Amino acid sequence: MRIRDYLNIGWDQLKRRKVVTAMCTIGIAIGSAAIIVALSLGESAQQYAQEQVNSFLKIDEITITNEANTSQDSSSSDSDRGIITKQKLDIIAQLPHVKAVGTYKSIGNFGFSVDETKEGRLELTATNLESLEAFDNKFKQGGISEQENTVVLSYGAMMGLMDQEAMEARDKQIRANPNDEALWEQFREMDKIVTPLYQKQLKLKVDVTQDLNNPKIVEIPLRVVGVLAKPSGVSDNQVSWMKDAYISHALADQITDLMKAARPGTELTPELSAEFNKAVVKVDDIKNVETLDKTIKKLRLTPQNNLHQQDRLAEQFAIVRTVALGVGLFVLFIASISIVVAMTMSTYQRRRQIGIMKVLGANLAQIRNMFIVESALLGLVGGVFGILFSYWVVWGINALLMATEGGDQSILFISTWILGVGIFFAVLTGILSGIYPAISASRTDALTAIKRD
Amino acid sequence: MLRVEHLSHVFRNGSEDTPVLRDINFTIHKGEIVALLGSSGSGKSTLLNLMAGLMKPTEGTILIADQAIEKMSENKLAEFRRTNIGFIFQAYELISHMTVRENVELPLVFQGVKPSSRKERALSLLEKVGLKEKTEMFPSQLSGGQQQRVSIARSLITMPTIVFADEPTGNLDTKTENEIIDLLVELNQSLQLTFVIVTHEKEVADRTKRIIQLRDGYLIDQMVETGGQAT
Repeated sequence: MRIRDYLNIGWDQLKRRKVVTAMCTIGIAIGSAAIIVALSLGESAQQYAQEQVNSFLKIDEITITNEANTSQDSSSSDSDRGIITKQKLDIIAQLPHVKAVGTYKSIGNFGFSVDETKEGRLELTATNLESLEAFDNKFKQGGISEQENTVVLSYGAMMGLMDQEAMEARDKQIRANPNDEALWEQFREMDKIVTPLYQKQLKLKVDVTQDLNNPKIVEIPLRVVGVLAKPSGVSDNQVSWMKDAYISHALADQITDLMKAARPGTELTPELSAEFNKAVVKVDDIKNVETLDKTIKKLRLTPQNNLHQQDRLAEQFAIVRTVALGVGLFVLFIASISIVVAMTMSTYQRRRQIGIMKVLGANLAQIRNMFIVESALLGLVGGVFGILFSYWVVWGINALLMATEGGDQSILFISTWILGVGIFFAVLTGILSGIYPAISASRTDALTAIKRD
Repeated sequence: MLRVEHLSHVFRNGSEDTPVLRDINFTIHKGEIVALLGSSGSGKSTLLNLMAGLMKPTEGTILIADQAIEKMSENKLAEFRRTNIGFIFQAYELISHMTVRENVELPLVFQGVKPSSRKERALSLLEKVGLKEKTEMFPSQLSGGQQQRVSIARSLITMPTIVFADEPTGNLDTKTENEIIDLLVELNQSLQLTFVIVTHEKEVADRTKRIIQLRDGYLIDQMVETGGQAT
C-alpha cells in the first residue's frame, strides 16, 4: 500500500469523525502546547537571565581588584603581589583572547548642577575612555574627546534632575508622608524624567576636604561629550539608579591633586591613592575565560570571574526545564488515553469495514498501519494546533510581562527546535496511542466481522 | 483451477461437535460458472468461506491455482486473496463514505497500484457493468442492483483467478436478480473468468452451466448444463 493511500484513508476517517477528532486534537494540542511553552519558558528564562547576568555580572570579563586598596603593607618581599601596575596591564593586553583592558578608579559620588538650575548626583569613575565601547557600552550621543575636562555620562545620569526648590519640596513631602505609596510612585516617575545633557556644561561640586564638618566645595566645569545608551534588558527604574559618569585618568589625577592640596599632611583614602582600583579584562569568548584567569594569576594578580554564576544558572534552568517537560509529558499522557479510547471505539465501530478490507486482500500490517497512520495524523493535527495555542499563550505571557515590568521587548520566545520537539511529542503520542487499537483492529476476524445476524 | 479434496468441516461448540461438511470432492475448471446450491444449513456458505480462505477446514485440501490455501498463514492468505480471489457479498458491503469508483479501486489500493492506473481500470469496469455515469456517486445514492454491480466491478478489478459470489441476488427483486445473473454470465463469457455462485434459489442456479448441490453437509449431486438447463 502506498503512503499516500494510508494518509488519504486516515485523513478521511478523521474528517468523518469530527467530534472525536476535535476532542483528541484538543487533548494533544494542550499537551504539546504545554511542552512547547515549558521548554520556551526554560530557554527564554535562561537567555534572559544570562543576558541579565552578562549585563550585571559580565561573564566574559575578568575583574582584577587592586590589593593595594586593602593592604598597605609594602614591607613584604612580595610587595607587588596583587597590585595592578601598568607593566602588568601591558602584558595582559598582549595575551591571546584579550579584547580589551579597562582600568578603573572610583573617585566618588558628587553633586552637579547644569544651566544654574537643575541639580543631580553622579558616581564619578576614572577610566581609559577609549575602552568604554569594548565593554558593551554604546554611545547614544557623541563619543570620547581629546579635549580636557570632558565627561561621558551614562543614560541614568541624565534622569531625575531637578532644581533646588523642587528637591526641597520633595524632601518635605516625604518627611510628612513617609508611608504614602502614591507619593513614592509619583517620585519614582519623576526620577525617570530625562534632562538632555549632551554638549552641556556641568558644574561638578567636589568637596575637596572630604570633611562633612568643614566642607570646601570646588566647582569643576565638565563638558558632556558623550552619553551612553540605556543598557538592553534593563528597566527604566533600574536605569534611573545607574548614575555613572566617566572621566579620563588625567582629569581624575587633577581632582585628587585638588583634594591633596586642600588637606596637606593627610593621606587620601587607599582607593584614591592607588593608581587604579581595578582593571577589567574583556575576553573574546566565555570558553577562554578560565584559561586567561589562570594566566593572570601567574602575574601575581587576583582575578575574579563569574563563570560559576553561569554554571549555577544552567543547573537551575535544567531543573526548571525538566520539571516543565515532565508536566507537558504528563498532559500528553492524559491526552493519549483519550486517543486510545477514541481509536479503540473506532475499531469496534469499523469492525465490518475492517472485515471487508481483509476479504478484499488487506493483510495484518496494512490494517495495523492504517490505524497507526490515522492516530499519527491525529497527533500531527494536535501538534499543529498545539503550536498555534503555544504562540497564543506566549503572546499572552509577554503582554502580561510588558504590562507589569515595563519595556517593549518580548522576554519569552519560541525557538524553531522547540516547535520540532512539540510536533515530535504530539505525533509520538498519536503513534503510541494508536498501537493498541491498531493491533486490535488487525486481529479482527474477517468472517465474524462481515457476518450479519 | 479449483480442486476440493476430501473436505470436511466440524463446528466445535464446547465438547459438542457439529459436522457441517462431510468428505466433499469436486473440481472447477478455468472459465466455468458454477452454482453451489443448497437450502439453509446445507453447508454451502461454510464451503464458500473455506474456499475463499476465510476459514480453515477441519480436514481435506482446497487447491486454487495448484496452491493449497488451507496451509497458508493469515498474511499469505491475504496476499493470495488480493491477487487470486474476487468476492461478491449478498449485502454488497460497499464502504459508504467512499465513492463508487473508490470502492471499486479498493482492492488495488492494497496491491499498491498507483492511483492513475487504479482509476483507469475502475472506470473501464464500471463502464462494463453499466455504471459509467455513477462513478463519483456514493453507494447510498444507488439502488440495490446498482450497488451489487459496483460490488461485482470491485471483485473483478484485480482480474482474479476465481470469483466467489455469496447469494449475490439475495437482497434483490426478481427483475434485478435476473439482470445481475445476466451480468455475471456475460462477464464469465466475455472475460473467461471462473465464477462460483452460492445460492439457495434453483432459478438462479439453473442460469449457470453447472450446479453442485449440497444437503446436510453432503455433496449430493453435480449437474452439468445440457442445452440451457442443468440436469
